[in-house]
Amino acid sequence: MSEPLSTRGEAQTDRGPTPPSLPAPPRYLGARVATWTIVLLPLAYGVYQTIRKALALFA
Amino acid sequence: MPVPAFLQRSRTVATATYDRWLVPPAALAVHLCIGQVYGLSVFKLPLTRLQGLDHSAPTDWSQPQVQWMYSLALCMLGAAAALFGRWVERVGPRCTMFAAALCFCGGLATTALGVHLHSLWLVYLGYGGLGGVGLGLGYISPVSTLIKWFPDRPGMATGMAIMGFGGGAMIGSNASVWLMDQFRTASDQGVVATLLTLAVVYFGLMLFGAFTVRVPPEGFAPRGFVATAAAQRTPIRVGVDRAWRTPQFWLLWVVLCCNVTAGIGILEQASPMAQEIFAGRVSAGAAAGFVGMLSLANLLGRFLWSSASDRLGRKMTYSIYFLLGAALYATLPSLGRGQHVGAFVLVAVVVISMYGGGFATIPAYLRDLFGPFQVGAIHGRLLTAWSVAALVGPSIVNWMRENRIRAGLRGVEAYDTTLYVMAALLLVGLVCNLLVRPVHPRHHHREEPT
Repeated sequence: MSEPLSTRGEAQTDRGPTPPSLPAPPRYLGARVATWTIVLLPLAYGVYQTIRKALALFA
Repeated sequence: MPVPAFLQRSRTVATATYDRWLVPPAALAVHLCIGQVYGLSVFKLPLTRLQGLDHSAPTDWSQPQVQWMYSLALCMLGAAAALFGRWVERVGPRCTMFAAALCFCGGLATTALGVHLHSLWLVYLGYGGLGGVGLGLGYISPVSTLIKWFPDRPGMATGMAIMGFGGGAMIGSNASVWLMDQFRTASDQGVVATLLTLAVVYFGLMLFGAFTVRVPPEGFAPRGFVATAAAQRTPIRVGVDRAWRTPQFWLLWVVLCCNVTAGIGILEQASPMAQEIFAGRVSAGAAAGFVGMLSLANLLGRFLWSSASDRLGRKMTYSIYFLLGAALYATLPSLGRGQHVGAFVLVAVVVISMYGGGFATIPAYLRDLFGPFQVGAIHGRLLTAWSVAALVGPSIVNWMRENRIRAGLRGVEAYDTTLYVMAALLLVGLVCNLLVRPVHPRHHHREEPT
C-alpha cells in the first residue's frame, strides 16, 4: 500500500534534512553580491519613498 | 517560430557548481519591472489633462477611459499566461523573459506614441494589449525554474519573485512621479518622455534578468536534500492538459479568485473608506499614507507568508489566510463604529499581507499537487482567476457601496455589507481549500515509448 500523498509541501516532497544555507562557491560570491545589489537597490528606493510619504502624511 | 540560438533553453543550463542564489535576483528583476502596472494610477490625472494641462479640457480623456488601460492589461495578463504557458515551459525562462521585455517595454513605447498622437486606441493597444502580454509572460517566466532550483523551499523561492511584483508598484509609481516632475514643461505633462524613459530602463533590467537566469542541470538537487520515500517512489508529474481537468485545479482557481476579490475589496476602497469611516480624523493625505502601508504589507506578506508555507504546509497556510482573514474582515465594521483608527489600520495591514501571501503561495501549492513538470504552464492557466477577480471584484464592491450610499447610509454603514460579503467570500475559499486532496495517480504524465 502506498503512503498517502499529502498536500503539505514538506511532507510530500521533499523535505529531507534541509541543510543550513549553502555557502556560495567563492568564484560566485562577487556575482551574488552584484546581482542582489542590482535588484535590491531599486526595491529599497521604492520602499523608502513609500515609508517616507506614509510617515510624512501621518505626522 | 525558431528561437534564436542565444535564447535557447540549452544555452541556459547551469553547470553543476552554479550558485542557485543567482537565480532569484533574475526573477526579481523581471517582476520589479512588470509590477509597474500596480503603480499606473499616478498617470491617471496627467492623462486626463494632456490638452487642458491644469484642468481637463472637453477633448481630454476621462478617468474611466484611462482606467480601462489597467483593466485591459490585467485581463491580458491572465489570458497571455494561460495561452503561452506551454510555450514558456518549452522554450525556457531566458527566451520568455526576453519576449516579456520586448512586449512590456514595446507596450510602454507604443503607449507613449498613443499619448503623443492623443489616440486612445493606440494607448489601449500598447499598454493593455502588447504590455499585457508582456505582463503575463513575465509573471510566469521564472516560476517553474525557481521551483526546480529550490525543491526544498519552493514557497520562499517563488515568494521572492512574486514579492517583486508588489515592489514594482512602489518603484514604478515613485519613479514615474519623479520623472514627470523632471520632464514637465508649461505646454507638456511630461508623460511621453516618462513612458519612454521607463521603457528603456525596464528593458535593461529585464534583459539583465533574462541573461542571468539559468535552468538547473538534469537531476539537480541541493546539497543534503533528500526527497521523501513516497516522493521518490511516485514522483508527481501532471501535465497542464490533465491538470486543468482535475477538481484540484478548479478548487485552487476558486481559492485564488476568492482571495484576490477579498483583497481588492479593501485595496480598491482603502483611501475613501478610511476618510469616510473616520471623517474629520483621517485627511486625504493620511489616507494616502494608509494606502502606502497597505502596499508595504502586500509586499512583505508575499515573501513572509509564502516562506512560512514551506514549514506550515500549503493547505494549513491557506486555511490561516481564510479563517483569520474572514474573522478580521468581520471585525473591521466594529472597529470603524468604535472609531479605533489604529486597530483598524493594523487589521487592514494583516488582511492585505495575507492577500499578498495568497498570490505568492499558489505556485508552491500547484507544485505540491501537480509536481514541477509543467507547473509554470499550470500557474499560467490559474491566473485567469486573477483576471476574473480584477474585473468582477471592484465592480461588485463599487456597486454595493453605491447602493448603500444611495440608500442614505454614510460612514461605516456604507461599507459594512461589503466587508461582511468579503468575509463570506473568504469562507467559500476556506471550504474549497479544505476540499483539496492529492491528485490521483491516473492523471500523472507518462512518457511515450520511443
